[in-house]
Amino acid sequence: MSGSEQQRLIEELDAAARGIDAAIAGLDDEKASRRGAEGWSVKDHLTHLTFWHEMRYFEVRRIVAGGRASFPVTSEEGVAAINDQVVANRRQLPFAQAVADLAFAREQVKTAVSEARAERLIGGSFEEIGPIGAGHEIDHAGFIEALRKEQGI
Amino acid sequence: MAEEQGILRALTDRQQLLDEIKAARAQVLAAIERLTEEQCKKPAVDGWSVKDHINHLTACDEIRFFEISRVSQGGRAASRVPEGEPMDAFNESIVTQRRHLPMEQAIADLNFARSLVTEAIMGAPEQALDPKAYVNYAVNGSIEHDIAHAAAIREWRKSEGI
Repeated sequence: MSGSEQQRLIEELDAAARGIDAAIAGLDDEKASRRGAEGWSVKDHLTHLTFWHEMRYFEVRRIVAGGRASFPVTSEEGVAAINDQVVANRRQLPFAQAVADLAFAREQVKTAVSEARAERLIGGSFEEIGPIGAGHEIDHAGFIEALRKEQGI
Repeated sequence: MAEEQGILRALTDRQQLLDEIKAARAQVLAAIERLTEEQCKKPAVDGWSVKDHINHLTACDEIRFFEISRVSQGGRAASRVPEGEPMDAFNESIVTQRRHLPMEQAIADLNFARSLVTEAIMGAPEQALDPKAYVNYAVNGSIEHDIAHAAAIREWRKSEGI
Protein backbone atom coordinates (compact mmCIF):
# COMPACT_ATOMS: atom_id res chain seq x y z
CA MET A 1 0.00 0.00 0.00
CA SER A 2 1.46 3.33 -0.94
CA GLY A 3 1.34 6.41 1.20
CA SER A 4 -1.28 7.88 -1.09
CA GLU A 5 -3.48 4.83 -0.60
CA GLN A 6 -3.14 5.20 3.16
CA GLN A 7 -4.13 8.79 2.68
CA ARG A 8 -7.14 7.60 0.71
CA LEU A 9 -8.27 5.48 3.67
CA ILE A 10 -7.93 8.45 5.96
CA GLU A 11 -9.84 10.64 3.53
CA GLU A 12 -12.57 8.00 3.50
CA LEU A 13 -12.84 8.33 7.26
CA ASP A 14 -12.76 12.13 7.03
CA ALA A 15 -15.64 12.02 4.57
CA ALA A 16 -17.60 9.75 6.89
CA ALA A 17 -16.86 12.13 9.76
CA ARG A 18 -18.30 14.99 7.75
CA GLY A 19 -21.43 12.88 7.37
CA ILE A 20 -21.67 12.60 11.15
CA ASP A 21 -21.06 16.34 11.54
CA ALA A 22 -23.88 17.06 9.11
CA ALA A 23 -26.17 14.56 10.84
CA ILE A 24 -25.72 16.19 14.26
CA ALA A 25 -25.68 19.81 13.08
CA GLY A 26 -27.85 22.15 15.12
CA LEU A 27 -28.46 19.77 18.02
CA ASP A 28 -28.11 20.84 21.63
CA ASP A 29 -27.56 18.71 24.70
CA GLU A 30 -31.25 18.17 25.39
CA LYS A 31 -32.17 17.13 21.86
CA ALA A 32 -29.08 14.97 21.48
CA SER A 33 -30.00 13.13 24.68
CA ARG A 34 -33.58 12.22 23.68
CA ARG A 35 -33.90 8.50 23.24
CA GLY A 36 -35.77 7.13 20.27
CA ALA A 37 -38.05 4.14 19.95
CA GLU A 38 -35.09 1.78 19.83
CA GLY A 39 -33.66 3.20 23.04
CA TRP A 40 -30.67 5.14 21.79
CA SER A 41 -30.24 8.91 21.56
CA VAL A 42 -28.06 10.78 19.08
CA LYS A 43 -25.46 11.07 21.83
CA ASP A 44 -25.58 7.31 22.34
CA HIS A 45 -24.74 6.80 18.68
CA LEU A 46 -21.74 9.10 19.09
CA THR A 47 -20.39 7.44 22.22
CA HIS A 48 -20.89 4.07 20.55
CA LEU A 49 -18.76 5.19 17.58
CA THR A 50 -16.17 6.58 19.98
CA PHE A 51 -15.84 3.34 21.90
CA TRP A 52 -15.29 1.33 18.74
CA HIS A 53 -12.70 3.80 17.46
CA GLU A 54 -10.94 3.49 20.83
CA MET A 55 -10.90 -0.28 20.45
CA ARG A 56 -9.98 0.09 16.77
CA TYR A 57 -6.93 2.16 17.63
CA PHE A 58 -5.50 -0.68 19.69
CA GLU A 59 -6.67 -3.27 17.16
CA VAL A 60 -4.84 -1.52 14.32
CA ARG A 61 -1.69 -1.19 16.40
CA ARG A 62 -1.96 -4.83 17.45
CA ILE A 63 -2.46 -6.19 13.94
CA VAL A 64 0.12 -4.07 12.18
CA ALA A 65 2.57 -5.33 14.81
CA GLY A 66 1.81 -8.88 13.65
CA GLY A 67 -0.78 -9.84 16.26
CA ARG A 68 -4.23 -11.30 15.92
CA ALA A 69 -7.48 -9.41 16.19
CA SER A 70 -8.66 -9.12 19.76
CA PHE A 71 -12.24 -8.81 18.58
CA PRO A 72 -12.93 -11.82 16.39
CA VAL A 73 -16.13 -12.13 14.44
CA THR A 74 -18.57 -13.09 17.16
CA SER A 75 -22.24 -13.55 17.73
CA GLU A 76 -24.43 -10.50 17.33
CA GLU A 77 -25.56 -11.00 20.93
CA GLY A 78 -22.03 -10.70 22.30
CA VAL A 79 -21.36 -7.46 20.48
CA ALA A 80 -24.82 -6.10 21.29
CA ALA A 81 -24.14 -6.69 24.98
CA ILE A 82 -20.91 -4.69 24.83
CA ASN A 83 -22.64 -1.95 22.84
CA ASP A 84 -25.44 -1.54 25.36
CA GLN A 85 -23.06 -1.62 28.31
CA VAL A 86 -20.78 1.04 26.85
CA VAL A 87 -23.58 3.34 25.76
CA ALA A 88 -25.28 3.16 29.15
CA ASN A 89 -21.94 3.82 30.76
CA ARG A 90 -21.33 7.02 28.80
CA ARG A 91 -24.85 8.40 28.89
CA GLN A 92 -23.89 10.95 31.55
CA LEU A 93 -21.44 12.76 29.28
CA PRO A 94 -22.46 16.15 27.91
CA PHE A 95 -23.12 16.26 24.18
CA ALA A 96 -20.15 18.56 23.55
CA GLN A 97 -17.81 16.06 25.15
CA ALA A 98 -19.35 13.17 23.24
CA VAL A 99 -18.54 15.09 20.05
CA ALA A 100 -15.02 15.94 21.24
CA ASP A 101 -14.31 12.36 22.36
CA LEU A 102 -15.35 11.02 18.97
CA ALA A 103 -13.06 13.49 17.20
CA PHE A 104 -10.16 12.52 19.46
CA ALA A 105 -10.64 8.77 19.05
CA ARG A 106 -10.97 9.18 15.30
CA GLU A 107 -7.71 11.14 15.19
CA GLN A 108 -5.99 8.35 17.09
CA VAL A 109 -7.18 5.84 14.50
CA LYS A 110 -5.95 8.05 11.69
CA THR A 111 -2.56 8.30 13.35
CA ALA A 112 -2.36 4.52 13.75
CA VAL A 113 -3.31 3.99 10.09
CA SER A 114 -0.87 6.60 8.84
CA GLU A 115 1.95 4.98 10.82
CA ALA A 116 1.02 1.41 9.90
CA ARG A 117 3.18 -0.80 7.76
CA ALA A 118 1.33 -1.08 4.49
CA GLU A 119 1.31 -4.85 4.08
CA ARG A 120 -0.09 -5.37 7.57
CA LEU A 121 -2.97 -3.03 6.88
CA ILE A 122 -3.85 -4.98 3.76
CA GLY A 123 -2.93 -8.49 4.86
CA GLY A 124 -3.61 -8.13 8.57
CA SER A 125 -6.23 -10.26 10.22
CA PHE A 126 -8.91 -7.67 10.90
CA GLU A 127 -12.18 -9.27 11.93
CA GLU A 128 -15.02 -7.65 13.88
CA ILE A 129 -13.25 -4.29 13.93
CA GLY A 130 -12.11 -3.00 10.54
CA PRO A 131 -9.03 -0.79 10.15
CA ILE A 132 -10.78 2.51 9.57
CA GLY A 133 -14.47 2.36 10.51
CA ALA A 134 -15.73 4.70 7.80
CA GLY A 135 -18.62 2.39 6.94
CA HIS A 136 -19.60 2.24 10.59
CA GLU A 137 -19.76 6.03 10.76
CA ILE A 138 -21.78 6.22 7.55
CA ASP A 139 -24.26 3.69 8.94
CA HIS A 140 -24.68 5.64 12.16
CA ALA A 141 -25.02 8.95 10.36
CA GLY A 142 -28.00 7.33 8.66
CA PHE A 143 -29.36 6.09 11.99
CA ILE A 144 -29.01 9.58 13.45
CA GLU A 145 -30.81 11.15 10.52
CA ALA A 146 -33.62 8.63 10.90
CA LEU A 147 -33.79 9.29 14.64
CA ARG A 148 -33.98 13.03 14.11
CA LYS A 149 -36.77 12.52 11.62
CA GLU A 150 -38.61 10.22 14.04
CA GLN A 151 -38.36 12.81 16.80
CA GLY A 152 -38.80 15.89 14.65
CA ILE A 153 -35.54 17.44 15.87
CA MET B 1 10.46 30.14 43.96
CA ALA B 2 7.03 28.96 45.09
CA GLU B 3 6.14 28.20 41.48
CA GLU B 4 9.38 26.22 41.02
CA GLN B 5 8.63 24.24 44.17
CA GLY B 6 5.16 23.52 42.85
CA ILE B 7 6.58 22.24 39.58
CA LEU B 8 9.13 20.10 41.42
CA ARG B 9 6.42 18.63 43.66
CA ALA B 10 4.28 17.84 40.62
CA LEU B 11 7.21 16.14 38.93
CA THR B 12 7.92 14.13 42.07
CA ASP B 13 4.26 13.09 42.39
CA ARG B 14 4.19 12.06 38.76
CA GLN B 15 7.39 10.08 39.10
CA GLN B 16 6.13 8.43 42.26
CA LEU B 17 2.94 7.46 40.48
CA LEU B 18 4.92 6.00 37.58
CA ASP B 19 7.21 4.11 39.98
CA GLU B 20 4.26 2.61 41.86
CA ILE B 21 2.54 1.63 38.63
CA LYS B 22 5.73 -0.04 37.43
CA ALA B 23 6.23 -1.91 40.71
CA ALA B 24 2.67 -3.22 40.69
CA ARG B 25 3.03 -4.41 37.11
CA ALA B 26 6.27 -6.16 38.04
CA GLN B 27 4.19 -8.27 40.45
CA VAL B 28 1.91 -9.32 37.58
CA LEU B 29 4.81 -10.24 35.33
CA ALA B 30 6.49 -12.17 38.14
CA ALA B 31 3.24 -14.02 38.86
CA ILE B 32 3.04 -15.39 35.29
CA GLU B 33 6.70 -16.31 34.91
CA ARG B 34 7.43 -19.75 33.48
CA LEU B 35 3.79 -20.64 32.85
CA THR B 36 3.07 -22.57 29.67
CA GLU B 37 0.36 -21.73 27.15
CA GLU B 38 -1.70 -24.68 28.41
CA GLN B 39 -1.37 -23.61 32.04
CA CYS B 40 -2.35 -20.06 31.13
CA LYS B 41 -5.54 -21.28 29.44
CA LYS B 42 -6.74 -23.38 32.33
CA PRO B 43 -9.77 -21.82 34.04
CA ALA B 44 -9.25 -21.24 37.74
CA VAL B 45 -11.84 -21.55 40.47
CA ASP B 46 -13.34 -18.16 39.70
CA GLY B 47 -13.75 -19.17 36.04
CA TRP B 48 -10.95 -17.01 34.68
CA SER B 49 -7.67 -18.37 33.40
CA VAL B 50 -4.33 -16.59 33.83
CA LYS B 51 -4.71 -15.39 30.25
CA ASP B 52 -8.14 -13.99 31.06
CA HIS B 53 -6.62 -12.04 33.94
CA ILE B 54 -3.96 -10.67 31.60
CA ASN B 55 -6.44 -9.75 28.86
CA HIS B 56 -8.61 -8.06 31.45
CA LEU B 57 -5.69 -5.93 32.65
CA THR B 58 -4.91 -5.02 29.04
CA ALA B 59 -8.48 -3.95 28.32
CA CYS B 60 -8.51 -1.83 31.45
CA ASP B 61 -5.34 -0.06 30.37
CA GLU B 62 -6.73 0.48 26.87
CA ILE B 63 -9.74 2.19 28.40
CA ARG B 64 -7.56 3.98 30.95
CA PHE B 65 -5.40 5.45 28.17
CA PHE B 66 -8.43 7.12 26.62
CA GLU B 67 -9.75 8.20 30.02
CA ILE B 68 -6.46 9.93 30.86
CA SER B 69 -6.41 11.53 27.40
CA ARG B 70 -9.99 12.70 27.86
CA VAL B 71 -9.36 14.26 31.26
CA SER B 72 -6.07 15.74 30.03
CA GLN B 73 -8.04 17.64 27.41
CA GLY B 74 -10.41 19.02 30.02
CA GLY B 75 -13.18 16.47 29.52
CA ARG B 76 -14.94 14.27 32.05
CA ALA B 77 -14.10 10.63 32.61
CA ALA B 78 -16.44 8.64 30.38
CA SER B 79 -16.58 5.46 32.38
CA ARG B 80 -18.98 5.37 35.32
CA VAL B 81 -19.99 1.75 35.52
CA PRO B 82 -21.55 0.79 38.84
CA GLU B 83 -19.36 -1.74 40.60
CA GLY B 84 -20.84 -5.19 40.96
CA GLU B 85 -22.97 -6.86 38.33
CA PRO B 86 -22.77 -4.25 35.52
CA MET B 87 -18.98 -4.05 35.78
CA ASP B 88 -18.67 -7.82 36.04
CA ALA B 89 -20.79 -8.23 32.91
CA PHE B 90 -18.68 -5.73 30.99
CA ASN B 91 -15.43 -7.38 32.08
CA GLU B 92 -16.77 -10.79 31.15
CA SER B 93 -17.80 -9.59 27.68
CA ILE B 94 -14.37 -8.22 26.90
CA VAL B 95 -12.46 -11.18 28.33
CA THR B 96 -14.61 -13.61 26.36
CA GLN B 97 -13.74 -11.76 23.14
CA ARG B 98 -10.03 -12.18 23.76
CA ARG B 99 -9.94 -15.75 24.99
CA HIS B 100 -8.66 -17.04 21.63
CA LEU B 101 -5.48 -14.96 21.70
CA PRO B 102 -2.20 -16.80 22.30
CA MET B 103 -0.48 -15.97 25.58
CA GLU B 104 2.46 -14.42 23.77
CA GLN B 105 0.15 -11.89 22.19
CA ALA B 106 -1.76 -11.36 25.41
CA ILE B 107 1.52 -10.32 27.03
CA ALA B 108 2.54 -8.16 24.06
CA ASP B 109 -0.85 -6.43 24.19
CA LEU B 110 -0.49 -5.97 27.94
CA ASN B 111 2.88 -4.31 27.50
CA PHE B 112 1.73 -2.14 24.62
CA ALA B 113 -1.35 -0.84 26.41
CA ARG B 114 0.75 -0.09 29.48
CA SER B 115 3.34 1.79 27.42
CA LEU B 116 0.59 4.11 26.17
CA VAL B 117 -0.78 4.66 29.66
CA THR B 118 2.71 5.55 30.82
CA GLU B 119 3.14 7.98 27.93
CA ALA B 120 -0.25 9.53 28.69
CA ILE B 121 0.71 10.02 32.34
CA MET B 122 4.05 11.54 31.41
CA GLY B 123 2.32 14.08 29.20
CA ALA B 124 -0.73 14.69 31.37
CA PRO B 125 -1.45 18.06 32.96
CA GLU B 126 -1.81 18.07 36.74
CA GLN B 127 -5.60 17.87 36.74
CA ALA B 128 -5.39 14.54 34.94
CA LEU B 129 -3.11 13.13 37.65
CA ASP B 130 -5.80 13.58 40.28
CA PRO B 131 -7.54 10.22 40.89
CA LYS B 132 -10.69 12.10 41.88
CA ALA B 133 -11.13 13.09 38.23
CA TYR B 134 -11.95 9.47 37.42
CA VAL B 135 -14.49 6.86 38.43
CA ASN B 136 -13.66 3.36 37.18
CA TYR B 137 -10.31 3.68 35.47
CA ALA B 138 -8.41 6.14 37.61
CA VAL B 139 -4.99 7.34 36.64
CA ASN B 140 -3.56 5.38 39.60
CA GLY B 141 -6.17 2.64 39.51
CA SER B 142 -3.92 0.06 37.94
CA ILE B 143 -1.72 -0.09 41.05
CA GLU B 144 -4.16 -1.85 43.37
CA HIS B 145 -5.75 -3.59 40.42
CA ASP B 146 -2.47 -5.13 39.24
CA ILE B 147 -1.55 -6.15 42.78
CA ALA B 148 -4.94 -7.83 43.25
CA HIS B 149 -4.74 -9.77 40.00
CA ALA B 150 -1.13 -10.75 40.64
CA ALA B 151 -2.22 -12.10 44.03
CA ALA B 152 -5.09 -14.04 42.43
CA ILE B 153 -2.70 -15.62 39.94
CA ARG B 154 -0.17 -16.48 42.65
CA GLU B 155 -2.92 -18.01 44.76
CA TRP B 156 -4.11 -20.12 41.84
CA ARG B 157 -0.57 -21.29 41.11
CA LYS B 158 -0.14 -22.22 44.72
CA SER B 159 -3.35 -24.24 44.70
CA GLU B 160 -2.27 -25.97 41.50
CA GLY B 161 1.27 -26.50 42.72
CA ILE B 162 2.82 -24.79 39.69
